[in-house]
Amino acid sequence: MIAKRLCTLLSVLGALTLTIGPSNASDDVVLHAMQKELNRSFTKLKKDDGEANLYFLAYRLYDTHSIEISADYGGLTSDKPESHKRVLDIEVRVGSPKIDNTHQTRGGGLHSGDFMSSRTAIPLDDDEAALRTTLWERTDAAYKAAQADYQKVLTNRDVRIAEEDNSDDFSKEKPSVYIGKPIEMDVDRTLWEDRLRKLSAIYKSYPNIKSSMVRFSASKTRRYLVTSEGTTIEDDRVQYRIYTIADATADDGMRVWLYDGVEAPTRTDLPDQEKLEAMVRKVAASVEALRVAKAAEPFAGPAILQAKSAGVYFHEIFGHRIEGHRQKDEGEGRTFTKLIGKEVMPTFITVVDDPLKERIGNKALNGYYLYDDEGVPAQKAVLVDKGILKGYLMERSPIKGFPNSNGHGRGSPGSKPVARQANLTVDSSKRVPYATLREQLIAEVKRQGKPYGLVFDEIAGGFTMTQAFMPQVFKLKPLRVWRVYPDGRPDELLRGVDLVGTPLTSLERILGAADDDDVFNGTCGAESGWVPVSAISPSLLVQTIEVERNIKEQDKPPVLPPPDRDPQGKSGKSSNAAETKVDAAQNKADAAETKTEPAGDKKSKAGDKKNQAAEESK
Amino acid sequence: MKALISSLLALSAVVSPSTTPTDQIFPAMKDEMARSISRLKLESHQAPYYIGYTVHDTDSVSLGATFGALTDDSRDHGRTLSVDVRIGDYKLDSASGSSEAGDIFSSPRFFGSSSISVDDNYDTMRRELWLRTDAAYKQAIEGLESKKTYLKQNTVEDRPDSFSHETSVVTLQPTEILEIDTTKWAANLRDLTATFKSRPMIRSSQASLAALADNHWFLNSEGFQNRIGEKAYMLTISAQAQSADGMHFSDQELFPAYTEKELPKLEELKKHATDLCDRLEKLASAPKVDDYRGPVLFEGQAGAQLFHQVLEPKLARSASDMRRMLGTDMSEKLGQRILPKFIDVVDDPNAKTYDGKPLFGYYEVDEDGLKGQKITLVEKGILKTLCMSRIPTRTIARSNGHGKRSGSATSNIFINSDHKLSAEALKARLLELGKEEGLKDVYIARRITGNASDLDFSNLQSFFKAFMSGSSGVSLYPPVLLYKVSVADGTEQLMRGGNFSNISMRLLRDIDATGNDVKAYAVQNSREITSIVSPSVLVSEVEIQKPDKTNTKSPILKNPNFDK
Repeated sequence: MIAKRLCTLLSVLGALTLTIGPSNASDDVVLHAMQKELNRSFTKLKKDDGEANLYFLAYRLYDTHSIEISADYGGLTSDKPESHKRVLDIEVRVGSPKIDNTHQTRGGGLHSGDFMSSRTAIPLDDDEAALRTTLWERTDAAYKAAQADYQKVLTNRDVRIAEEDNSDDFSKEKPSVYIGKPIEMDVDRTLWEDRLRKLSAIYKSYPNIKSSMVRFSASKTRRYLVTSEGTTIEDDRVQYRIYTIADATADDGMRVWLYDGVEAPTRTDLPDQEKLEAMVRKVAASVEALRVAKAAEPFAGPAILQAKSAGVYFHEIFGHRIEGHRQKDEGEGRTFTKLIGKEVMPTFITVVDDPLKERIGNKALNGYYLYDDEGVPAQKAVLVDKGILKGYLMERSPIKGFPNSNGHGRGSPGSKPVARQANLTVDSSKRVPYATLREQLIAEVKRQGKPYGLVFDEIAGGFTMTQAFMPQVFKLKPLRVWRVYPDGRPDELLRGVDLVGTPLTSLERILGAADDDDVFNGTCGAESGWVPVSAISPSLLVQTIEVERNIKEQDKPPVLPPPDRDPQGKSGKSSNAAETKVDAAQNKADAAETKTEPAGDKKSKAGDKKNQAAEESK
Repeated sequence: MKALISSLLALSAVVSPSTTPTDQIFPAMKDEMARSISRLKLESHQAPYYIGYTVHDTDSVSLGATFGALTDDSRDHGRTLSVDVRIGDYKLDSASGSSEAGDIFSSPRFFGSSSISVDDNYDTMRRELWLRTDAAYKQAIEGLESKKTYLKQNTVEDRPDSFSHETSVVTLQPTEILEIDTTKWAANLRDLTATFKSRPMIRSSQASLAALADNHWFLNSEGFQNRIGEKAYMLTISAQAQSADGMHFSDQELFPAYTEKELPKLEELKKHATDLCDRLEKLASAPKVDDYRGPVLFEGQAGAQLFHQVLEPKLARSASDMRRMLGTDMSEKLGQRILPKFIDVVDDPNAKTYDGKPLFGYYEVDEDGLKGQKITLVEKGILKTLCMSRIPTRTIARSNGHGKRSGSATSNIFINSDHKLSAEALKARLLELGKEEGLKDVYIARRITGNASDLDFSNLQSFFKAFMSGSSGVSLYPPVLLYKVSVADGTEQLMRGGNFSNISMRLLRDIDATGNDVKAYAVQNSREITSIVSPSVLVSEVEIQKPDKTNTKSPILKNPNFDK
């Protein structure tokens, strides 16, 4: 049956493979259908009497092929062929760039939803008639919603006091025309399935790991963007990702977990099997170590954020607050809104966000792109120069003093783009080797009279609240934190730490940086969905960091030992009245079925070794 | 619809190695169960008295098209594991309880299922079983405690047992492999939906095909062991139209099948698509219906939908344990009359065909692992029993092999009538009833919406308005084809926009007569397809509500393909 199932799957895959690849000729159908329907709609809808003026129309279509393979404890967890999906986003602006339907309505006015969009599916075939029919349906719905929203905006403006920032709603930008070079996605599925089985089986040698997973994914998204201003963009983005996650339950019921992974734009950027195995082993061993580590206690004192953690730290406490649209949204905290030209962090720190940077050394950056999702060319944005706040991340929504986009308007397929981070880079003019930074930490511990300092070496990501009605705080989820004692005792691993604080004070307290810049490649979620980002920073020494104990789960560790490590329960051979009853019925049942030997530990391990040897000999 | 078995000899040794893989699932289940039943125990708590494991392996293909182009082409293969661990005993056990007191009366927190490895790998399987069993055991401890606490604070008269005693069943079928020619069907769907290109009146249209092979393994600590392989196919054509005043119309046709071969041919499907378009186009130009109260004849599909929507939900039971103790369900109404004396209702999961046509409620064993039994639910209008799983009620102690979807469910429903009239006689009787009431017109419903997903947003709104006007928790979706019939001369006129209102169980007792046109109809039961074998029905009093005054406007521009 396995053989048969494989055959059917392969034939499906074969059929799908025909549709991918860089076939420009057929893809033009999509772009042409979009352009034709955009022109028809823009010309004809404009003339509709009694309605607000349609001044801007944009179609964004994202065509995504993706593959995902996951494995757990030596076995694949799903068996899906490549998936092909299209997502469409229609942007309609009525009124004028000065004030239009997208204008924020204060007092909780919701924008009209496009309920039709869930019903009209988007053709996957490059078929003009079908594509235009869908575009027509969706445009109609979006146009009607825009008209309704615009009336709300006008009413809202009449009943509310003037806004602090009365900038326009839409900036004027030069149209872009860009047809990118097609990029191929290249995945050897069988190879990766085999690799994942092996990688996930590594966890078998770590008895205290409760659940674990290894996942590989690859996706290719072709983006089509046409606007009534003449912007035409068609380009490809390919993304490969492999990661592993594992957890364990400490004896007091706390769940500890770790994650590690790699994101890469090309197949050659992916680590080889040997490196991946090392990554999985490191995660497994670290989770085991964390499980028996000391539980954290609330603490405030000096700390080092190692490079990747420092990148995440900046992404959360600074990056999200410097997104342009938040500066005029009166529902936002607007921490940095009136601080342009003022010192917001030590004068040796400079922060830029440069989407045009493709790599640092040999490391590819996740936040690299040429045009943003509004079709604006990507630009390097200088945010902080020698401690002085200089600018914001800008989309096409102008704010006071910043009338134009700097190419940071992004969103996940189907979401309205807003200003987002790309490659956030922290630079320091004051740098020392890491060992010196560590000495400085110990000196600072002594100076403050604290019992110890902290080193954060793994951070899973964090969240930050930027809205005004929420406290202006951040919370990071450090996975591994070490206590560093001033008296030369060995460092001590902690578990269950949450990092808390308020943004402005944290930034003022950076004391120094190392010379070990590193990249955190990740995916950032906000109102416009998930976008790939990078955060680049050296390790930073911070004067005061506040941590608290995180909420711990109450689950007891499993009652029975893992089945493959249970000397008594390997094949259920213990004596029990209930079991005898079961066995009687099962024996009867077994007679009718082809009995198989239970795959023993020895057998599968031997198989693994053989495979490993084969892999190595390549 | 679930099961397809080519022969009933599932237990026999015909199971060839080529169709039954070296099964790692049962060995892993048996080993983990043996260890758990003997040694899984936390201090100061009971060990489980029952453990049940279910693994579902589901392989599915989904194709969709609109306007001559494919919109969906996907395949999914996955496995899920459900673990049922019970502590206590058959009289009072932990199932469906919950740790939070506030949760007790909400929907049942069934033991749930988690996705597991699709590889036939003993080690991975054992590990999943171990972790899920452990979690389910801990949940069971909390479940039993919350029940005990509830019983300390409340008195529950004649409390039914938690779980019925049953004799174990062993059924081992070969597994099924999904067979579907996706290339051919993709082409068929493109071709089929391209026919809508000649229909400017049809605003949108879709066709889809879902194909599924579902194999499941069930093992429990009482000696039950089942391996069941099933296949199902479903082709759907749907279309939406809008009248000049903005009213929406939608309708769909379902074509379920047990094998790929049984699916309709392309030419036949095209004919159905044409009929569907004709229907919607006629509707779009039909006059609007007015408020009405009087006799309605539910012909053909409409009669089947009436029984399916009003009666069927009452014949099965939800899985909630605590709610059952409150005694609000139909099991307390056994012995009462719910239909006229001339109607019997039978449920038969063993029936595979009716009049040469396949029935889609067939199964050999239910989710509890028990053989499906043919039962008489209603005899001479009197409610006799309900479709039962292993969860007893005050009045029914044993299962009758209808354990489905975490509770119990109907399978193939047969409406048997002793008062059958020919089509002419039935219409004559309708007119006669109208005359008695002094009405100028009466109504015939020839087609009723079968599923909420067929309803457009605005239709859904007016349906809910009509639904809220009633109070009994019983509903009937709006008619698609509703005809006004002149009492004077019997002439018929198609009407649009009506909704049934004030629908209650009373409707069933107001059945005046049935037709002699008994046929099998496929109906959508939750996410599954089942069958109902039913005649046309004449009901002496039904309320119809006129349509809403507000409608969303038609699109401003024409469909680009018709905008010449």
